[in-house]
Amino acid sequence: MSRIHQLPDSLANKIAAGEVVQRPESVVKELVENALDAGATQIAVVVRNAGKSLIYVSDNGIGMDEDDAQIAFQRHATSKIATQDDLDRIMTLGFRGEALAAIAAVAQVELKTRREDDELGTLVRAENGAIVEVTKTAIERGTSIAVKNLFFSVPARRKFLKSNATEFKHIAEMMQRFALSYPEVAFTLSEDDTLVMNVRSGTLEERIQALYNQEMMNALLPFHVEGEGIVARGYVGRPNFARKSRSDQYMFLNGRHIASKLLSHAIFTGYEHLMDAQGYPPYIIFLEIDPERVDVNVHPTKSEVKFDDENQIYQLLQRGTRETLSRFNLTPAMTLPGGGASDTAESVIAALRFALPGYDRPEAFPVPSSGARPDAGAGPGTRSAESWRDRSPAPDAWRDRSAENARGGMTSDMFRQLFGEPRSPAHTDVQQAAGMGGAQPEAFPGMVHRQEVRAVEEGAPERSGLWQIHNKYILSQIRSGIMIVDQHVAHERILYERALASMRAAMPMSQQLLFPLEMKVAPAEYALLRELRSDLLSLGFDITLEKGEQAMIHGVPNDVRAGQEGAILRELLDQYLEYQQMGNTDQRDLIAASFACRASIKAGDPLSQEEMLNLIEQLFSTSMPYVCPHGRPIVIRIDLAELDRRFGRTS
Amino acid sequence: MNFSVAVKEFALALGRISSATPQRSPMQVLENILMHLDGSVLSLTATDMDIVVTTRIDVRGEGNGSILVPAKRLIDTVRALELGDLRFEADLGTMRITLYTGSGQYKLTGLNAVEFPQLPQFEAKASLKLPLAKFASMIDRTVFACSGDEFRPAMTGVLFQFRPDEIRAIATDGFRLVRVIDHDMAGTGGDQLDIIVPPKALNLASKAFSADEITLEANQTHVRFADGVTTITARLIDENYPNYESVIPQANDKRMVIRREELLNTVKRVSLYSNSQTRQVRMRIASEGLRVQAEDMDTGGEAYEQVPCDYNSDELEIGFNSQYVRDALDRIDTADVAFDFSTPLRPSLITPHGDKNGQDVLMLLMPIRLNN
Repeated sequence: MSRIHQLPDSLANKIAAGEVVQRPESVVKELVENALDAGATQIAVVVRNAGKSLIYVSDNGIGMDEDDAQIAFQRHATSKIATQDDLDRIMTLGFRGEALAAIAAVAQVELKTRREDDELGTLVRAENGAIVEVTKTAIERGTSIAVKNLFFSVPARRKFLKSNATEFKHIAEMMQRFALSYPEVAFTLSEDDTLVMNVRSGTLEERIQALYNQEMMNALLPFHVEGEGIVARGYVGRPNFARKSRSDQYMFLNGRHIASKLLSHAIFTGYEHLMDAQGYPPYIIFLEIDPERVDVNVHPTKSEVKFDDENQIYQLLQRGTRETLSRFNLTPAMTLPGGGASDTAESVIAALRFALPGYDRPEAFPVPSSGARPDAGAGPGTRSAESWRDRSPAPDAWRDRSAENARGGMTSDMFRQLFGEPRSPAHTDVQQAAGMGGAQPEAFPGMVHRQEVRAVEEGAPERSGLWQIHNKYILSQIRSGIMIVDQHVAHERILYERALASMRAAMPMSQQLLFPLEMKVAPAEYALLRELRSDLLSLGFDITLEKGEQAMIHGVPNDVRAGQEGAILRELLDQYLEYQQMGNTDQRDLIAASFACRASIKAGDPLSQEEMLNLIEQLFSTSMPYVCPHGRPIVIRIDLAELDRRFGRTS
Repeated sequence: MNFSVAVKEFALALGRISSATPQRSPMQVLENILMHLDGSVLSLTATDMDIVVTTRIDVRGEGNGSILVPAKRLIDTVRALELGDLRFEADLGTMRITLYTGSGQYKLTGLNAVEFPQLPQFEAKASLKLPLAKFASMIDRTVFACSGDEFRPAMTGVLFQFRPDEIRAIATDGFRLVRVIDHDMAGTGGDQLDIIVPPKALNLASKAFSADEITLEANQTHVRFADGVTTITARLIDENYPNYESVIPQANDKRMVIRREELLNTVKRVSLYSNSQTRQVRMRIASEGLRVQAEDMDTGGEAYEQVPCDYNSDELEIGFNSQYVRDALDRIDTADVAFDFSTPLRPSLITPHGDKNGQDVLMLLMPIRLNN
């Protein structure tokens, strides 16, 4: 006699239920998804005993007729797909047709539903996987499902449920995801007669405010990026709002919440480690991708997805994050998150430029511009000139600096000797209009000419715009307060971007060496060198590998600081391995970061005024001037308001 | 310990030794000048422990003795004084020093001379006489090419090779190399002596002396330059110099002859448009002329200029750090220079063309690789 036989439906459903229905949260998820797929605009969820006794979900969706209401309890019964093609184009949340059958297999289910046009609704009661009652009933338009005594027929499963607090937490988190994903739908969630969530239909922003608070909204930056048929929008958090867990990280793919470590990592790296490795930036990202390009049918809970080209999406999210952060000019300010950052990179540089003696030799200080966009402007200076006009009119910078020098660097008597008597009050109006209301009007005339500014500078050469502190930090005055730059990480950022650009362009600039450097390498290093050789050459390291674990360096990048050539490649390799262990896998990125770390100026290196200005200019022409390639802030701003507050100068 | 001296003479003497005094030193005593009065001769000594400079000046002295005087304060004071006579009085008990001028007095406190470090004993193994002008020109033509790489200490100094028929000076930082050979100074007594002299000592030597001829003495550890008034003693760099002869190419067969000044000015102008970090210029050499070209991807700047030259080989494109080209051309004094190339990755040579003023100068430049 045959030992193998077909399982009865009820048993098959129980087995399937094991996958689909793991805990009360899964039931809530399946039912709410059905409600959303039914076009509901209001969804109410009530649970008792954390869903173990009762889960009740009611919606105002399209409802079902009597036949459909019964068929819904059969396994693989669904209205959402009909053919294989449909499976490739899934836009609905559910589609496997397992939910109700699976739930009914392990609980007592009562379903009431009515379509708009039907006079009476249908009530279907199921238990142990079988329909036990079908009657007509009176009900509002939509569907409500009550799931009682979950796992009553599977005691083993019931035992594995966690405490009520834990189970409810899962439900609440699930509801929060739905609420974020569908701001246009009103949700309520009640637990044991307590209303836990009640959000009205609205915009995403309103929804975030309703779920969190205004502070959260302030911490978020609008995010939008698209390309290759992918649209990603939403919010990413300001770096200083990093969390210690992933709890405020939400990603939705075509409306479905997904958990993707890969994409989460993409956003994280977009911060370029603006936060340390233990920090988790909050984000709420909605991905819209042609359903044909994703496979959500990996697992019944559908939180795992596969993309046809993961790398593409990874890059897109990383780029979007980076752009968002740099668009919002994210300097970690010491206080007042979200406070007006009126200093743009250009205005900072403008102010500094005027502060330096000899500023009027433009060739001495190349105009900053993005190295990544050589085609962006018609020539040097274009970009800077525009932003200049838009955001920081040059005359302001002039006034700022000259007034500053006049006040700090010399007495008003000296100033009069140099510049003559102050002019009429009309000029004071100009100053006030330019935001200089607080300046002493006698300290400077309204219009200052080039030569005069130079005279100030030459008269007080020690008062220029940049100070090096402890050979480590560069301090400078900016309009909103003061700015402190860490010289090492600043240079690191510059070299990092230059190294990446150099590798991308595959146009090495390798200063050839008269005496090739011999480098004894261990077998592992030998293998690594061989692997990295072509990228290292693009960077400027011209290396040949000889027999017997020997490498010869014939050329080095020609912006390596003199005196560093010998040690730098080995340090680069060490650093590469260290970074690699930290999980980064992009070879070029690793090389660039390692190179930048090792070749950059260090804390303790004294810098001249011109070197400091060059450093700052180049820093602000990088794509991300605020964070070094592996994690530390480059710039810290202290707002004037903060200083005022500390000095008790509150107004 | 008292003496009188003309302010001007005193200021000049202080100027000869002042740059040996470290600005800031962990050994604070080095920020002082050692003054020693012996009859009518005042000797002034400054050191940073690697270099010792001593100079002498005639004064009207009363009472021998030694004292340490704060260098910066003394020098700043003397430089600021009106011309005239200065009287210096030191109480060697209290170490109080008073400077009397025609119109007032300045008081400062010195230190006991015994606190000054012991200066190295010097026994010369070799000694020769050098005409100062030629020696200074050798220094000027080499010091700039020294390396700053502390990992390769030999290259941080200038190698001097004294031979019976010539004196050679060599400097390299691994990117360029200079070799200057002077035949006229031959026979001045040197014999197979090779020393590596730190640049600071050479810079001092080219400024501190005024006599036409100086003496050079050396042993394994130190070198001493002297002109009878001033003596500079410097610790040598005790390292093996790289075998520079083997890297100077002998068969660079593509020769370009060009007007030196014209090329120098062209490179200066065009390199304004090179990347401020890399300073790279590109040279394309063909029979119709030399094209010097620069571009800066960061700012979008580009420039080129065409310079006539004599060249009869295959067209060649080669990249250089423009600063190196300028440094080399600046230190050649003939109207024309010759460039000898081989391939874009091999060293190129620059030499004076035509009249040579006694010294054989050879500048070697390593190119910048332009593409894969």
